[in-house]
Amino acid sequence: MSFVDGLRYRLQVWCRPDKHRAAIDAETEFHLSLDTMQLGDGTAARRRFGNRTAQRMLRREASGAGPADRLAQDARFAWRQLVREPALTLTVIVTLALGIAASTTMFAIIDQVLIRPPAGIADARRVVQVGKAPDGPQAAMRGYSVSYASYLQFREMRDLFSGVTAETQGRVTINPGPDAVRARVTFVAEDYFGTLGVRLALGRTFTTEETAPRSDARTVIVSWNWWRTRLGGAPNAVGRTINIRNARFTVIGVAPRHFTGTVLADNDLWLPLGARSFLSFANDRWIDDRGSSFFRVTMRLRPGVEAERATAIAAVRWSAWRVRSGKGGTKGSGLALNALAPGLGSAEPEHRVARLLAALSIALLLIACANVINLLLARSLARRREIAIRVALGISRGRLLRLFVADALLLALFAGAAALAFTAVVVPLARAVLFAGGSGGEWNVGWRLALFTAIVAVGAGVVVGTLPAIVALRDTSIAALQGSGRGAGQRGRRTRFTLLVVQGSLSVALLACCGLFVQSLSRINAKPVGFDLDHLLSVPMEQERTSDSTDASERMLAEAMRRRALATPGVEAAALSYGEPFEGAIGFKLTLPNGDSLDEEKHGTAFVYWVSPDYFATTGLVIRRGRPLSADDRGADVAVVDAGLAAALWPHADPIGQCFHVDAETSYPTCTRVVGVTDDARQRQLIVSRPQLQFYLPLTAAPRYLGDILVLTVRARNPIRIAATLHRALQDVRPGLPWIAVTPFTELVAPELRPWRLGARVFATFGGLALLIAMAGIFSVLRHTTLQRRRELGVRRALGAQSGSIARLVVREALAAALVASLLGSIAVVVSGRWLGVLLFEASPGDGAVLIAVNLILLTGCVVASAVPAWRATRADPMLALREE
Amino acid sequence: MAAAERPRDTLLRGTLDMLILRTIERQPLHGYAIAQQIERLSQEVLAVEQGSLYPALERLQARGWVTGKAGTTPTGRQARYYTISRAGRKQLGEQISSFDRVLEAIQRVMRPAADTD
Repeated sequence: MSFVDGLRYRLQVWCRPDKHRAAIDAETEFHLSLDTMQLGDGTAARRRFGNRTAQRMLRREASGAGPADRLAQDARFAWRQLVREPALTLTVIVTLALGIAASTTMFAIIDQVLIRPPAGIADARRVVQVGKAPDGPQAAMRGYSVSYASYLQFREMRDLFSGVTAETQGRVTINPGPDAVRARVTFVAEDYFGTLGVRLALGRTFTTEETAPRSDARTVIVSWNWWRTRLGGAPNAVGRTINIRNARFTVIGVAPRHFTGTVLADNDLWLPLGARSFLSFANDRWIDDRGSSFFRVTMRLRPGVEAERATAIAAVRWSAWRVRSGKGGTKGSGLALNALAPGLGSAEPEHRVARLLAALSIALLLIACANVINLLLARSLARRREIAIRVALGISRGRLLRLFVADALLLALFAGAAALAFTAVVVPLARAVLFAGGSGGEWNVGWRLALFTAIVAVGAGVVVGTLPAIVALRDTSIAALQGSGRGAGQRGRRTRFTLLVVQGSLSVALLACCGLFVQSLSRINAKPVGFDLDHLLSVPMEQERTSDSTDASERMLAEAMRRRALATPGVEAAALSYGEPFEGAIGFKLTLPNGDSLDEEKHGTAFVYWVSPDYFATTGLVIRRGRPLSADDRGADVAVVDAGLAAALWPHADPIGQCFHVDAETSYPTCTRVVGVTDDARQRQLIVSRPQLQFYLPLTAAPRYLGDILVLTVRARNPIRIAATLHRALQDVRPGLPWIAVTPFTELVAPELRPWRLGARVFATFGGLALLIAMAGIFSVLRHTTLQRRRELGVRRALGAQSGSIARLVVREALAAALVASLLGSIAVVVSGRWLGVLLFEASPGDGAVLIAVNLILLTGCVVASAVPAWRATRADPMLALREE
Repeated sequence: MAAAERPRDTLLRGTLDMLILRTIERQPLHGYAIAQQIERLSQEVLAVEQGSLYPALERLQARGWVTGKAGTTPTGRQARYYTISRAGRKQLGEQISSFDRVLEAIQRVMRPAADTD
């Protein structure tokens, strides 16, 4: 009871200090008046009372409000400092804000991409995906695609998993016609949403019948964004229909906001598995074919079952089944159940870039802090007198330290707020930079980010305020009290020098990383693609599957299209092939006559393209040895391989005339003879770390089940200009054709190159910022040093020193720091080669060119930054300086 | 008790608190009156200075043993009157007993050596 009353009083005193003080004053007046009456003398009464201010302070202390008063005092002091020098304040805030913003932006990205599982999934830690156990230094693919039959096996393991589901991605055309749109879709097996624990925002999920493999249900669940943008966010969206490839699909539900599936990539629609037979590849071969492995299996662990145990048991059962069903082998030996979030150790290139950027952003923060410390040091040196008086009047060390830190904290808090605002704008931009193929709708950057920003800001403030305080505390000479410049030049000199070196070496490291990245990028771009990217257009032929269409009629249509394309003005050549460039391709197992097969662990899968004879001429793929495919080659008994595949299969022999077997169809011969060798070509992905192996078979040998990934490739001198004409010409070939999309190749690769291009810009920006901040630091430090050394320099000039030697004196300190910084920074870069791996595309960190360039830039920047202070120093009037004392 | 920059020792501080509580036990008083009362009752042996009195009153209020409220003096002036609370009364009782114990202990120590036999 008493505690509550006491608390209430204390709260009153804390929150209304003015009222409390007024009450104290009134009581004091009352006391004095009574005392005066008693003593008869007002002066004596006042004397007996003592110092009113001191008494008031004592009373405030006794009531427990002391700390609050001191805090308010510190805050007022800090505010006064800020307002007194607005230019300095602004510089400090902006510098800190940049450093903090860089760190928090990277934190937001790392948090969302690596640490947090995809949004919308309930209890995501209990959800795992089938993956391949990493073996060896090669970074294993996280996601491991299996066949439908394998998925069914996992579904049987009910003792381990309370829910098992499968999915596969694809693209479909919505509203074929002038308003056609390509949508990203996920085909899902039964209980997809249930296993993930996702509650739809509207409507219902698929029923078991709808997700049966042979079902022809035409139902679709749309994503939140799709619902908002294309269905108007209407509550009655359920029941409306969407035209997917000219079939009406009924909307039965809307996914919750932020949910994009099990991966962090945009997804527009979810469709039942059965629809895949209709929409993609136009056949249901995938149900039974063990070779069709493109399903990702996701499961929820049963309560009480741990991931390790589940992995071990599931792996044993799965490989036992594979052996039993005749598909056992070395491939897929290690099964792993991966958590949904990639985790900080993820080895994918985008993630490694993100991690590196995070490290670099911390470096930027440190540079910013070093700079701010220098600025604050300079300011406190300019206020020596004020501080020395405080010390002489008996301020305790702790109190002085608190004053400085309060000042710095206030600055840091402003900077933190600015950084937070900045981050909110920059994070979406940074996402676009790093993750090309969409990155999962909007992210919710919420309180975690704000908390992180606050921690970083407070940390920076404390660090930045403490150092100047320590230096100021040691500065208690008489000269300080007099406020003269004597001795000030030496104070804190070592600290300043160290800080400059720290700034400089971090800048060197930062700039070097940027340089390496830009260099790698230019090397990537310079690598030949293998075919003439700039002169080609791609026309995928999505054909209507009607009951009476046959393979032959489709080929006739395709040939008609090809002839019409050739007749179009501006077109130089046209060829047909199976396989859409930069989309998907098919790989097969290759065996040699002696029983060996292609070592896919080492070289990767070999991908095949079935092409018409003029394909090589059309695309510009150069035949290095032998001959291209001709019109006489009809079956799969001849092939053209690329140089990489030839080297992998026959490292020491001439590939021409050699035999290999393609395990595509039972009708394929045991010996497919190599008749030609082409250059390596990058047809699946532009940026790869190891060469893709490809080979080419005649178009007529293509298996029946390939369906509609027939592509017409057209060569033109100016693809972008004739795209519209070509489209019109082709659409007219036959009435009622589905929409013909004509895309120049350059547009196809743009999404893949974009993050690297923009990434180069981000790195360059980081480096530029670092350099600017470092230069600003040098400038301000030199300026203050010169001011402090005015007297000394004045004396020198009076004694006859030349302008040149004066300038040299000033610049010497900066240059010394810069040289040491260059050395340290360069060593750091060379030593950290291992972590920089992702930046080094066929380069090493000891690469001379980049380091030399960076060091030169730093030294030049240093000289430039010291130019103005040096010039000012030479203009100093010796008489003015000498008289100052 | 002379005024000091800060209370010299806990014994003195606790004793002052006890004296104040006792003084306002019977009726609420304002600060000046409390000091006068203590001085009067102790026959001018104990003189409380405002440097100790008012901080002590703040402490007592912060612990909820005393409540302060505006009031009117007999002469019609505005002043702050301090009243003991129920918890304060309880605290007073405890402080009195512990003070008595301490006083007795001191007296036992200070008694002439011959009396201890």
